[in-house]
Order: sequence, then structure tokens, then C-alpha cells
Amino acid sequence: MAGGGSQNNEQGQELNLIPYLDVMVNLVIFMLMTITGFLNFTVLNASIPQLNTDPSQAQVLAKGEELLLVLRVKDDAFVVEPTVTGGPRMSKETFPKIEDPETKARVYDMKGLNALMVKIKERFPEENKVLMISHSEVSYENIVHTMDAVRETKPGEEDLFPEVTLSI
Amino acid sequence: MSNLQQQLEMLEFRRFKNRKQNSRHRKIFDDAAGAQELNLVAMMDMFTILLVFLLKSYSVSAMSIPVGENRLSVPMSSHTINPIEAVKLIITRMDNGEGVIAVDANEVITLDDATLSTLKTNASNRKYLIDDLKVALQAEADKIKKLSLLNPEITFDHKIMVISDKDVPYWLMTSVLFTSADAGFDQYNLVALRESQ
Repeated sequence: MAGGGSQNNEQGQELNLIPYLDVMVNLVIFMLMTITGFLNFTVLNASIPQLNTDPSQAQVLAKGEELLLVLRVKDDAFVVEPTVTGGPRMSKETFPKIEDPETKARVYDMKGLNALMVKIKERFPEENKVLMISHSEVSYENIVHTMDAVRETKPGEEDLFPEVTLSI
Repeated sequence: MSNLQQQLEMLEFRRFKNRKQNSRHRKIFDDAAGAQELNLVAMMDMFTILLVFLLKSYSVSAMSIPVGENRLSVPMSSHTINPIEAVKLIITRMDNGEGVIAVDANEVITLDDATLSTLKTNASNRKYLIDDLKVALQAEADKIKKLSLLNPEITFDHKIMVISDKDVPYWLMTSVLFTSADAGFDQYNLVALRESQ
């Protein structure tokens, strides 16, 4: 009896949630449509060659074995030119394009380049810079992938040459 | 006397109870006809949680990067640095003749066939500067410099976010990057999509 009474009261006081629900559904749909948060962006830092006008810094750099690593991205191949000053020379290496087993298209040999970068890094663990000179028709996508191959062995590691300088 | 009163109370109580039962009967009858309201509380809980989650991820991605299948698809990268807000330099897809170079949201150059061939000839002659773009970027740099005088938290850090379509050739990238360095933005942040790991 008493229970029946209170149930009746509750029913009388129930909020009308329909308009609220309408707003919610609209908001959720709008946000799901416009959201870009699921796209996970990242940035690659790059710079251009800088003139070194400070002679004292140049002298510090000139001590010991020094590496100037140049990577040429040609139309059909990678050419790695490591120039060593004050130490034994390193040979120039060329990585021609290889055939992609899935698409059968000619693609750059990112793995080969990455393996060579690991080898160079072993000899010059302090060096972080690489100068990238690209052919004018190379696409931006290939440049980004090349930068990935030069920079790290595993995603996010930055264990090879992360300071890429873009040149022409 | 008190007996009579008791009987009256009892009668009153029975009448009340009957009324109650009648109304309950009526309600059950209503239920059977399908007039009962749905219980929306659980659904509302779900929506509220979804909304809160979306609002949270909205604030994280406050930086709007305009990406669309037709106009701009950025390359993938294994890099994992989070982008920071900077002046945006956008180059959209250009092979359909509708490409644009934009600074923030302002379209600066339309890359139609004539413009592209001029730019390409200039680039092959090692004339990389794009005048219109330089003017737009310098205006942007001046704006930041003026703001930095008023607000010490804003500094002109020479950073520019380059959002480019993946098929843009390097000669155009070179021209654009050269121009932006000439206008004072020489720290490039090349935007890419993070590869899922």
C-alpha cells in the first residue's frame, strides 16, 4: 500500500529526458563527424644548411675524426657518400631501387639504407647530422620515408641520424 | 461510539485500497497496451560517457589540420613526436589542377598549370623564391613579432608547420621551403601521419 503510493509519486516526478537526449545524440554525431583526434599526427624536424660564422666552433669540430654524411636521393637510387676527415675513408654506396614483392613497383631500398646507416652510426656514435640532397622529381612521401630510414631503426628511437638537413 | 468510528475508518481504508488497486489495474492495462515509457537512463549514461570522451579528445586535437582524401593526404611516418602549434604552410594535391599553397587558412597561390610550369622553370634555373608566398609569410612573421611585444609568452621561434600532400615533388617543396626560410621560418616541422604500431 505504502509502496504503491511512493511508486506513484516517483512516476509523477520523473524528468522528461527526451529533449536532453536529442541534444546529446546530435552533439555526439556532430563530434564523431568532425573529430580529427583519431588521426595521430607527428612532425619531422628538418632544417636547411646554415653558414657557420663562428670560427671557434669550427675549430672544435675540426678535432679528431669527423664525418660529413651526404645522402643523395636520386631518381632511381640512393647514394650514400660518407666523407671522413682525419681518419680512414669510407666508400660510397649505391642502393638502386628494388621491386616491391606485393605491388611489383620499383621502390627505394629503405631497408638497405637503414642497415648502412646502422653501420655508419657504429663507427660515429656521436654524429647526428645527415645532409639530404634530393632529385627534383622525388615525391614528398619518399622524402619522409627516407628521413624515417635515416633517423631510426625502430619507431620513436631516434638512434641513428635524426638531424636531417634538406639541400638541393 | 469508538467502535463505530473504527468501522468508519476501516470502511474508508477499504475504499482507499480499492481505489489504489483499481488504478494499479488500469496501469497494468496501460502497460499491456504499450504506453509505458522506455527506460532511457542507461542509454543516457552511455551518451554522457561518449560525449565526455569526445570532448576530451577534442581539446587534445585543438590544432586543426585540414586533411581530406581528395585535396590532401599526408605521408605516413614512423616518427612519434607530437606536433606543436605553429604557422601552417599547406600544399594540397596539385595533379588535378586545383592545388593551392596556403598559409594558415589563407589561400596564397593557386597551382594551375600555368603557375606550375612557371614555378618549375624557375626551380630548374635555381630561382626558388616565390614572391607572393614570401609576402604572405612575412606578414605572418610580422604579426607574431608584434604579438610577442605585447605578450612575453609568445616568441617568434622560426618554426613552421609544413603540411603537404604526399605526391608533391621535391622541386616544389624546395621552392616553398626556400621561400619560407627567406621569410624567416627556417625550422621546418614536416607533418606526417603516425603509423600505427
